[in-house]
Amino acid sequence: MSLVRFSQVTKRYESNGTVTLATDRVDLDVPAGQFCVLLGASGAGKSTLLKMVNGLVTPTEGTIRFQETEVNARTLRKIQPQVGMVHQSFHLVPRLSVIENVLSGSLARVGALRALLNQFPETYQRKACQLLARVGLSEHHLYRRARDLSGGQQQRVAIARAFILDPPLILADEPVASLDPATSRDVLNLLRDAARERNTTVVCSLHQVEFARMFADRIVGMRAGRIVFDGTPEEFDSEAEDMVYDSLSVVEPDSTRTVDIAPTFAEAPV
Amino acid sequence: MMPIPTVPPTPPPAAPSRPPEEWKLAPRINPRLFAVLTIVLIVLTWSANRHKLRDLPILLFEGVTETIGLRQGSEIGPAIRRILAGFFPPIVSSRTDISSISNFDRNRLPLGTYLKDEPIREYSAVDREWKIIETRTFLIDPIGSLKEDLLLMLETIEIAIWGTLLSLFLAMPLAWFAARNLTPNRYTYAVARFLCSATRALPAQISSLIYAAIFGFGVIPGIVALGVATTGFLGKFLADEMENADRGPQEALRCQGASRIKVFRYAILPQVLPNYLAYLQYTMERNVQSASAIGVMGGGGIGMKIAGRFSMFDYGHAIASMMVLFLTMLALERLTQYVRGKLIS
Repeated sequence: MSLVRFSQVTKRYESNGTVTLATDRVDLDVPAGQFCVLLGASGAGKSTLLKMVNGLVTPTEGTIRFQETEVNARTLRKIQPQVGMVHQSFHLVPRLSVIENVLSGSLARVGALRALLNQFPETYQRKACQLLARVGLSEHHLYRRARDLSGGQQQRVAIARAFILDPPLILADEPVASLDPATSRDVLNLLRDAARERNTTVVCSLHQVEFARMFADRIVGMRAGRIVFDGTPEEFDSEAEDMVYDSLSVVEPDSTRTVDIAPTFAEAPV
Repeated sequence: MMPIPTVPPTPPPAAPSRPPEEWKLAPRINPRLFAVLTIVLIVLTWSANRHKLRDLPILLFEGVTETIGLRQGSEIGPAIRRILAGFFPPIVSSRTDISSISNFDRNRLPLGTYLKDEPIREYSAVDREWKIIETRTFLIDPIGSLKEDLLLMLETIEIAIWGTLLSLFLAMPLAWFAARNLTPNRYTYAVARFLCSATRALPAQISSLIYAAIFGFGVIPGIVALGVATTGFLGKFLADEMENADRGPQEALRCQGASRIKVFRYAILPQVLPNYLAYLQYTMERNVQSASAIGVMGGGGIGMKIAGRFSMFDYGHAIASMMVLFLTMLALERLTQYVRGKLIS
């Protein structure tokens, strides 16, 4: 059974009269339990594809189904709490403590009054502690400010935040792009193992081939908004690598760059 | 799984290109900036001529040189000397006619005060000399005026504190609607931004006249005037802060299903709090100043006393009250800075 299904998904950005195709009629099925890596150069459309699952980006054409429910403005409220997300630059709140950052992932399931008064239920607090222990942080990190942690530690906190509601799906958008190689390996290891323990599906975008080979159950190669390879890491040979990163026909960065558009009134869920 | 047949990527559209030698560079002198500066210069020259501003340094120079005895014949010299002579020494004592004190008990004077008999003279046009017509007894308090000043200063600060609280109370919801990323729709945004501009368009010193007409003279119109006038200011800055807060954390919480108000509480408020406090501190300081000025318009506080003494040419008392205001402002700046530092860390 597929957990996420993209059918003919296109995202067009228009700015100053130039049209940019971030994704071009993408069809993709991600079954439950997979660690699926979207591989490609910058601007290949990986991030856009991920962000369309939880409504950070709205597709221009095509449909996305999450657990057989179509993702749209009406269903987003129900879908969002079931999809955790790990971001490229962590996106922690720098001035909040580590545990508050983890707990903030559970806000969808916490009453408004409790949330405003910073009174998270005991169960979530315990859960946050367990997750923090699982990602390798200890008790003395609990009330440190997020900005005082190293990059690797911050991404661990972000992973704990993504897992706190036990979502069936985690989206990881270049989770190790701002980390050094050794830390990257640790973080990806952690993400994969934590997902396996909970039978969580992960769709993770990466640009490093070696990490994709090391961690993926399945590699989906993207280039210029299209899927150019879909297979296991064993099948991802040098020929496939050339298809994804063909140095001879360099993709003009301007023509495929995903424009980071600030959330508008229309896109923001109520 | 087998590799699926690949579609060759569409070639990017050819951008019009020319050799780097022909690339167009921005002009060295921006003609628009040049035009604007020229216009500003013309307007300033016109205004300066209109008000004969070039006389100002001449007047000042003549006044000062005459005062220190280097020349004679200045328009403003006598006024400078009169004010300086009046200012020194500052007077902190008070002097009250005991006949104007009800239930006065000669045997139980307030602490530190004493009685003094003073003759009252009147010029007799018939005898062409000054004559003592009666002797009155005055209650002299060596620091009476200072005590009064401090009480009035407290009143001024109270007006400022309540005015600041009122503006904070009004500005928080206003800022929510005036922040592009939080407001429900563009109409609420436009209305909120208009309110921000409209409430700060009339300075508190002027609008207090209206409120005084409604509530009567005293502390209340000052508070309302300050509260309303700083609401627009505070609301605008808070809204701008919220708009400029890092979008990343907001996106992270929103995409996991947090509602707008929860995103505000956890991803915006912690980011903007230090600057909120800075604005609040600045508002508070400004409000103490405004509250003193409101006093001049009849809104109570120390400003009222200074204005009254000044118009009675009682410069000694006026300068003493001004010094109290000056020192209080300095101390307050230090205090608020300290409190903010404690709150942020």
